[in-house]
Amino acid sequence: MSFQLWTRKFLRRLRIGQFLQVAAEWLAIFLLSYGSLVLLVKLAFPALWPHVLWIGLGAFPLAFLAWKVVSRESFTETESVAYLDRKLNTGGLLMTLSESPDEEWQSRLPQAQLLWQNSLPRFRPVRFAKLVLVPLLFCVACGFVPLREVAITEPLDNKSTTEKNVADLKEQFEKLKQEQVIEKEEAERIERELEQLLEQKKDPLTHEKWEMVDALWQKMQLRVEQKAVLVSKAHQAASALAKAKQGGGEPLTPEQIQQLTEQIEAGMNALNGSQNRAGEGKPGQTSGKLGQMLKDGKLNLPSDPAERERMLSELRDLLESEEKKLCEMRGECKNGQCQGTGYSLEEMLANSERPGRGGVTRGRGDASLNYGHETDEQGAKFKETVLPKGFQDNPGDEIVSTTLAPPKEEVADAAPRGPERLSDPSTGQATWNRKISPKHRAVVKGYFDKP
Amino acid sequence: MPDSTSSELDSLFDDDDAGGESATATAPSSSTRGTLLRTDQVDHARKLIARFREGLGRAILGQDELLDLVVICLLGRGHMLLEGLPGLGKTELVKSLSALLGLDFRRIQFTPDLLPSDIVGSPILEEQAGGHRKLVFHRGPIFANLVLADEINRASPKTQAALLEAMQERRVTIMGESHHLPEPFFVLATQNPIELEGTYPLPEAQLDRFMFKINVYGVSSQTLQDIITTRRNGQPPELKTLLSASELQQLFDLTDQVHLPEAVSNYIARLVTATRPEESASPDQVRKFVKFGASPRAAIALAATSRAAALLKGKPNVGFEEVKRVAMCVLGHRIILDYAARLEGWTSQKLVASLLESVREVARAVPEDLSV
Repeated sequence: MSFQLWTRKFLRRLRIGQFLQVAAEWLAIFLLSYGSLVLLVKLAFPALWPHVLWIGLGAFPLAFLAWKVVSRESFTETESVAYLDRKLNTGGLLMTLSESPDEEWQSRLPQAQLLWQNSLPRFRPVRFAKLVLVPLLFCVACGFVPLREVAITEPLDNKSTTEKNVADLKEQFEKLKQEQVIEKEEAERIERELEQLLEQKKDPLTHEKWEMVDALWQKMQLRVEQKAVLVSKAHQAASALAKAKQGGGEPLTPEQIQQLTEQIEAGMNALNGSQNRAGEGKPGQTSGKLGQMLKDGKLNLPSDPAERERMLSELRDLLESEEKKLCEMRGECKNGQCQGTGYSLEEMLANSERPGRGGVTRGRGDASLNYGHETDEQGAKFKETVLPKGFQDNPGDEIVSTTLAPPKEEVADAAPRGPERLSDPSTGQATWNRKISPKHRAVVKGYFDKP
Repeated sequence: MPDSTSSELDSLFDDDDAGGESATATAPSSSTRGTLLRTDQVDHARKLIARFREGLGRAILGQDELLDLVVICLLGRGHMLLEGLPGLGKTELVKSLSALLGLDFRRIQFTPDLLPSDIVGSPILEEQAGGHRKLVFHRGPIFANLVLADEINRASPKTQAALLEAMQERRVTIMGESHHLPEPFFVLATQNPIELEGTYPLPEAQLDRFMFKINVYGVSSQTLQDIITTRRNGQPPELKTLLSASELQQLFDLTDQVHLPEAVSNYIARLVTATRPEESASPDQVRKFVKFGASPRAAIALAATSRAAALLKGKPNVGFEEVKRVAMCVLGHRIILDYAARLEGWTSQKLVASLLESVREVARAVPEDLSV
């Protein structure tokens, strides 16, 4: 192998060494920057994760650039030959032959291949490892930093609490008004109160307003409840009456029939407002009679058994549909199944013979305890639920900035304790409680002792 | 100059392509750069130098390094300043040189009352045939191949300055007429570092014209014993001419043909540049202690004497070690130190030694991730 090949090998290794030198510095800076970027994204811009990882591919063009820079300012062949010459201890002959080849003198060069092989520089990338290791560890550590969860991902509702509550109230009120659950006078009064609340929507929500909103809400709920109970009772009474008329079950006593009739009439009175609508929606003679009956608020069943049975059936259907509507208004319908008012006809009939219900009992304490409205998720494991999105209390406040960092705690200045307490200016005792140095005492004493 | 040429020697300098043109006629030029000396040329040069060196060694005992440096300076065609205590053999060395070379030799003893005309000569009014008178130039002792300027620092600056033109231009100008000095021309000066009363230190301009300044030191006791046992009254043995003028000229030509690699010339340039305090790349001690650095003449001298040192070693090229060998003699007297250097005990020699340590042979350092 000619010496030119060895000099080229030597030069190549020098360039690789130079590349390692440059690349180590650049890579260290890149890794530090990349790690910081990953950390920033994880803590401040989690939405950019894991897309930020693609920036890591920037190491390749960086290495290419480093190689280009090294190629431009790399060792020259003369320098590489000089190093090889020195290593082989040829006293400049190798340098000379690389510039002026001469076969005669070339034979004086070392001939052993092993000598040339051993003279090549060896890679010991200690500096490279020292420079790159710490940034690399930093980068890996940044990769393991947990991604910060964002509590608020949706924009804040800028409506004030008053606005929101009044809007809900108004919606409910419109429904009740449409269903004529609320009487006209009361409806007007509620409407006025709602308008009054709306006028003050920009003001902070005080506890008085909260109470007002709550009272209105309860009032409307009460009306719905009352009507729902009456209609539910009427519906069950109509069903029981129809069943008794058909001859099914035990025969009803006249008191029970009277009681059922009263309940049906009470329900009809409650539905009085919607009788016209019900009547209009049902064509035919029976519908007209039912409408008239509803208008009168009296249960006048025809004497003809078939006609009576059909009317009772229509009445029952009407009451059932109204009950469902009211149930939906109360918000107790779950998956299309209405829970009902909790009123039981069997209980009513069973208690009908007891005192107060037309029967003899041993007092109020004799009534059976029935626990209603029990949850069907009894004993179920508690599950976390995401709370509804927040709202602003004071619409006048503007959001200056939204931060994901925990709020800064500004610790109030603690009152000085211990020996400092006496001299601290905040105690107000600094002046009179100041200690006087012994050498000044005579002067102070002389000043105050002056007549 | 004696004219003795041999056909054997001439054949060594034959250029294959030139068809038998003699080496003495081949002027060293840039065109010769790139053609290496042949091995037989180098061997022949080595034989000649060894013969001459052996003769010197018989005259001066126990000063091998000094004699090598003298030979190197001679082959580099430079002037030499020998500094040392009296009795160390400085004058004897120069006399031996003249005897061995068979060159025309003159000795000038410099004294305070010496005049320039005593060195270079002067025009004298002579009566010519026909009765008219004419100024005729009478050559001084400087018109010789080898001039010994003994105790050069004892002459006045005016007299010392008479050597300036002769040393650099190798000619003398008297009353507007220039007279060329014989070739080769060497000035070998001596001075001692003591008895400084009534002396005149050499000006920097003249110091710079000396290629080498060599410090002569004492010899070992064994050498002293050899001197007193082999020589009666210290008289050196009879010396014969060992190197003819043509052989010397051939050696000069061969020296010029010694290859100077680019990396080595770069090293010389950086080494000389590093002696200048105004250079930002200069070492700290240079910026702190040096008042004036070495001139380009120093770089030229370094290259020339490195070539001679390589030839002395039997090499066709210069290596870094040759440059380092001659650097002290070339640079030592060319670096003018500041007063701070004297206060802190720095000498030119110490500074050159530190420069040789700090200036890298190859400009660029090997990357740290490689072990060479």
